[in-house]
Amino acid sequence: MAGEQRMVYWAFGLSFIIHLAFFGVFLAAQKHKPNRISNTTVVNVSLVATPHKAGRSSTPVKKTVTTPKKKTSKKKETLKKTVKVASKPAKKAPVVSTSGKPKVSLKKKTFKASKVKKNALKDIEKKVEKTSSERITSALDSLKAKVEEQEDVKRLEKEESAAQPSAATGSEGAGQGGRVGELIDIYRVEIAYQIQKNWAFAEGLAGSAKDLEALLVFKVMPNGEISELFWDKRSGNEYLDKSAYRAIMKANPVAPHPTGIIRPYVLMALRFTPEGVK
Amino acid sequence: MFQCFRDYYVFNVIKFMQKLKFIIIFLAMVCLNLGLAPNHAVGAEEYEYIDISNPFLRKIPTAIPRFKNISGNMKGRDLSVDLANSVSKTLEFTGYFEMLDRGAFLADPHDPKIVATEINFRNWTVVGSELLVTGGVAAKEEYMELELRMFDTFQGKLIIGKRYKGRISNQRQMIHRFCGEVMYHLTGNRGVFNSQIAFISVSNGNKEIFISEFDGYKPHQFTNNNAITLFPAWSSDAQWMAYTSYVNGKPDLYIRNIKGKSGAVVSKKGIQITPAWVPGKFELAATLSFSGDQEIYLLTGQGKVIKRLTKSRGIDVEPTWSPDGKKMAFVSKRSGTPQIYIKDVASGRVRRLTYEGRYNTQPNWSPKGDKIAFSTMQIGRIDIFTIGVDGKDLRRLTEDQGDNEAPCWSPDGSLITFSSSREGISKIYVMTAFGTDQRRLISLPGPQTNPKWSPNITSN
Repeated sequence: MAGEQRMVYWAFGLSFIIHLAFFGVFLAAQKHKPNRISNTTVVNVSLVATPHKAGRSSTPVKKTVTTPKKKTSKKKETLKKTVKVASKPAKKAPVVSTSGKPKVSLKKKTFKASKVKKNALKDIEKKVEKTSSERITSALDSLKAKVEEQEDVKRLEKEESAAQPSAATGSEGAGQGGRVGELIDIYRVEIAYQIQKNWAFAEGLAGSAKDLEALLVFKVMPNGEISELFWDKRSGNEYLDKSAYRAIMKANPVAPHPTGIIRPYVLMALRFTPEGVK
Repeated sequence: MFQCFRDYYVFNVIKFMQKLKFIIIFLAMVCLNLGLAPNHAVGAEEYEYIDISNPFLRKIPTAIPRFKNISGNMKGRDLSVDLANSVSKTLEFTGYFEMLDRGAFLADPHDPKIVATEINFRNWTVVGSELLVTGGVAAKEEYMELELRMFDTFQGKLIIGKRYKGRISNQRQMIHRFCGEVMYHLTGNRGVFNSQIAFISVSNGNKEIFISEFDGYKPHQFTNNNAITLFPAWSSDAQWMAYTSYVNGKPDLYIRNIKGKSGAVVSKKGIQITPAWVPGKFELAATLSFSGDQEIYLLTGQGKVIKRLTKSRGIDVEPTWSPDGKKMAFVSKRSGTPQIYIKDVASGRVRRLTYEGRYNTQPNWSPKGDKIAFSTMQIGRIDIFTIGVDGKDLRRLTEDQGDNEAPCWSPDGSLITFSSSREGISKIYVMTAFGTDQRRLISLPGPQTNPKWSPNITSN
């Protein structure tokens, strides 16, 4: 009896140690998550990298960079304001010219050591203020340009995604609005025409079967290469199916994506029907 | 102590299990969202299709480079070019193939490759060729050995490969056999390469029957009656020819064996015209007028009347049989103007087929059984049309090119021969069943009319 109880203790003890180790690993793994999130911010840095002119300084630049995407527009406004404010002192900054200055004795200025120190410090402060404001201004200018550029890209992407909700669906099209959506539709029609020009089909070889249709789907990569071609539906007539397949393969590669379509591929779906052969 | 520890242990286990449950649910949701089953996702897609319904080319782009001279002698060299041209011309005749210009080929014309392992198919797909026919010929004295292959260029696959041996004078037969194989692969029938065309041409001032090969090659005179001879009709085994001739001063019906002189004559009172053989039988229908009215009768191959097929006021002429021999189309004036009717032989029921136009004649039932070609007169011009046997799908095949008459289907139903006065006097022409590729077939002096296409002749 006592032996059994001892066995239970041992089992529970061993189990406890194993679980403790498991929970420990589990919690440690959870603690790593924040680090991953911080990594993503690092990725953002590269998107709005400070320009070369801005130098290494600029603490405010870092702040702008790490701001979440949603607040970008607000930040943009504040940035503009900052630029205006910062540009004023830059304009007002006196241009020190030594050439036309009358010679003055340094005796008064160097007579007292404390006064000399004070003046030197003032000069340094002025210089620092001037250089830092110039750097910040130029950094902010370039940042402004970058942010605007990014805004444009985001807007384009938004338009694209509005017109083409999923790259895989291919359900976008005319009527869904957006310049990119229109571009894609025009591009698709162009590709379909290119393929039609390569379609050779003798109706007599298809036999007497009527209402034939072969449905083919494929992707057009940015360089115009056709990939992942497959039959969504075969017509049941081997000749028509083959002729449709050959038409696409003969047209490959088709025209590359036009500028304005920024996406990994454009999905094409074609329905071949020989009803036009009359 | 033990109780407390056990409770704590159980509590932790339950807590962990709850956590585990959430983790499993979370992972499942992630899997679903990421679409780890792409096949299902693709299957569920609905694509926005762009319709392509008008082929740019209605033929198969085909490349036939000059053949390889396997024997290496002068005879072989000449044949390698001639035979390649012959295969090209024969396939082109069908209307299914577009032969690509040899000048555009990327392959070395002086070193033709004939087997798949040597051929760079990319060279052929780039120039747009979908089919490639290669050949090699070895000639010695009067004999030759010809090997022919057809490839699918996109699949890089051999479709047909044949080797023929024989006399050089038999090269046409070799080519026809190979082209028959090509057509069989593509359509399921062997095409028209073993068929002939009978037609009426003038010889010594009289209309006589002539026969040529399917492409108009070697026309020769079949009848020598020194009298008007009309309406040739092939039996379904291509062994017999029926026709009308004025040898005895009136239009009698002659039934003659193609190879010999044996046969029969139907010489009753009145006229005997427009014979048409019943498919698969040694029987024929013809218009006879011994009863006073022009009616269609069914006759034996020996010319004996089996039964009367039509009975109506007004003429009934020009019978043509459905491929199964169960129905007969003919021209009747029973409604006032010549129109085409269809009679079901078993039930005797007759229905009118054509309603458009006031003069529809010369019906010819397609070997596929679905259409009837006929000629119609409109505003003084005669043109050829086809119509479905249900009376639908009326299509004009000729237009604005003189008078076009007497259409007759090829044995595979892909072509139609007809006579046309587009060049002045009437000549024999051929076109596809859709009215495309109209070209002259026979070059003989004088007018030619009334062409009749034979079935494929197996003994050839």
